[in-house]
Amino acid sequence: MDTFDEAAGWHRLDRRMLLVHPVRELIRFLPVVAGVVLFGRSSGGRWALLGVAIPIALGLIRYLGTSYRIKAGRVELRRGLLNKHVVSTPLDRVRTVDVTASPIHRILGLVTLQVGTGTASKKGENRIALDGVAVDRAAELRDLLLRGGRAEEPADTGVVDSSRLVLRLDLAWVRFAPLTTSGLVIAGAAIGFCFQAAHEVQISVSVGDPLRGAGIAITAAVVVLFLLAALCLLAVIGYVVSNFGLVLRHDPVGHAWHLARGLVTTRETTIDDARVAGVSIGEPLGLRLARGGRLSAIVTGLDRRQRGSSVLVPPAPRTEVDRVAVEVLGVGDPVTCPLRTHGPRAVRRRWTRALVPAAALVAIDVALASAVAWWLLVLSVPVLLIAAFLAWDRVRSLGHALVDGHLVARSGSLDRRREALQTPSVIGWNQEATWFQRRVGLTDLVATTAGGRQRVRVLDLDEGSATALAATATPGLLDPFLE
Amino acid sequence: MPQWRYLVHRWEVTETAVYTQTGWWSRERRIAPMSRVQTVDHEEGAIARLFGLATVRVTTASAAGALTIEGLDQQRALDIVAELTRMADTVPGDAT
Repeated sequence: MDTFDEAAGWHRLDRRMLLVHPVRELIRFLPVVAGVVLFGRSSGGRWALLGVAIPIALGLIRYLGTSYRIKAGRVELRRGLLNKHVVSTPLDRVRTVDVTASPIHRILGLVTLQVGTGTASKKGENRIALDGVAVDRAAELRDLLLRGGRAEEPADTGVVDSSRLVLRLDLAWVRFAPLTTSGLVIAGAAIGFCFQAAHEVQISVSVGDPLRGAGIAITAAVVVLFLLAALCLLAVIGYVVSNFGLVLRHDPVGHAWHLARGLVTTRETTIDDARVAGVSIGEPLGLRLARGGRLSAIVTGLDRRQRGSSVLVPPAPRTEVDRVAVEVLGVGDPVTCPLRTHGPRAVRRRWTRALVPAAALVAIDVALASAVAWWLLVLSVPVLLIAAFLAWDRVRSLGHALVDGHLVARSGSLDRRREALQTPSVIGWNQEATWFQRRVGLTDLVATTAGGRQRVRVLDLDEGSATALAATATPGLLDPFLE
Repeated sequence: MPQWRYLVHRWEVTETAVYTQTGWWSRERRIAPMSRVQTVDHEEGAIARLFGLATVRVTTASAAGALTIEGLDQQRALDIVAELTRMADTVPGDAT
């Protein structure tokens, strides 16, 4: 490092960034550069030179203008040579540290270090990202950032890696990749396309000659199969690219979870133990049928826009997901215990909510059938079957529990989730009831929290047990309001 | 309709928590403990000022947890803001 402001504790980014910036600027300026090269010929080589010089100068300016320091319990980042911009955050507000490395960074042995704080602002200018520090320096900084907020001095572990391996990716798990909700939506669209294609064929069969109809049907089937195969392949590629080499470790000395993954761009996330408020086990229908699931942490101060930082287990076998969830929470019951059901009124509500829209569709179908042809009534059968299945599955999913200091709630079918939130992280309660719910004396109980989706919703409790549940989970809070 | 809305809206501030109830069609009750209160806002819209009214908004660290008390008398609203700020200050913790 140079002597620049060293006394005040300011550091520059790694010098190798001087190589990264010009290349990146060059890519950004590629259209301009191409234009300069193409049209610059006629007006002389001077312009071409300028086209190369400007990006390099910009890179140099950015390098000279950027510096950071960790001092007096704060992490500060200075940016800009002419327009100065200083971002400063207390160390005890640091929730996560993300270390990513793009291919160009990896070649040069550099990483980008991003500090996740509880800021609600989405604007890039308030993000603390150190783009370009050496790999070993990044590890140092990460420890400093995450331990700086603690009062006690961390035990000097030196280079000895005290962390314990919790999970390692098995490449066989890519079979779960096409089964996530997005995969299901795609499959649904494909099936819809199939129906429509079949419908078209029906008509063409009735008007055209049968041979041509059969030809169209085969073509349509091939197209659909090809699309499905392509989408599965895309899902698998996506899974491998983002999760290749995934390793989840827990560091009992640093009190943190480390997750490293990525094929081309590597990404390493560190989550402070104290900030883990709970876990969310995602079990969408497709994954559930294949006995899979996925896991993310509810991290205080991280909302869903920064969801990438809170993933703990990508789509994987359910047993693995449960094992990791138990390790994260430190207790087993919130993950595995049977849930309390919500009674017959909640069950009835699941059925009406699934069947009323289906009934509307059926009514349209009946009208259509009476106008066009009666065989169209066949279309109503799958609609009713799907609605009934969804209602049945939602009834089966619905439940809640309050065990070992965790509020557990599960609901949904296509996108079922089981969320476990430790009760000290509940920072408020909402009781939400629509007119329909009030008519039957039900209410949603929402525990608000500062992480994840910001809320854990317990669907359709009767009013008495909703109040009782909230009162038991956070003793004393509701007392003044209960007569 | 306005009378109805007036009838169902409730709010209460105690030493330990803030409570609101809103909505005449979908009812929503919200409780936030005083220790989790992060900011207390005082708002006066143009029309509200015409009638000498104000809104108090209490936010917590959760995006889902903000409480709003609408249609307060201006002086009353300022008093509540001052009181809430004082009480939220006396409770320790970083409100997350």
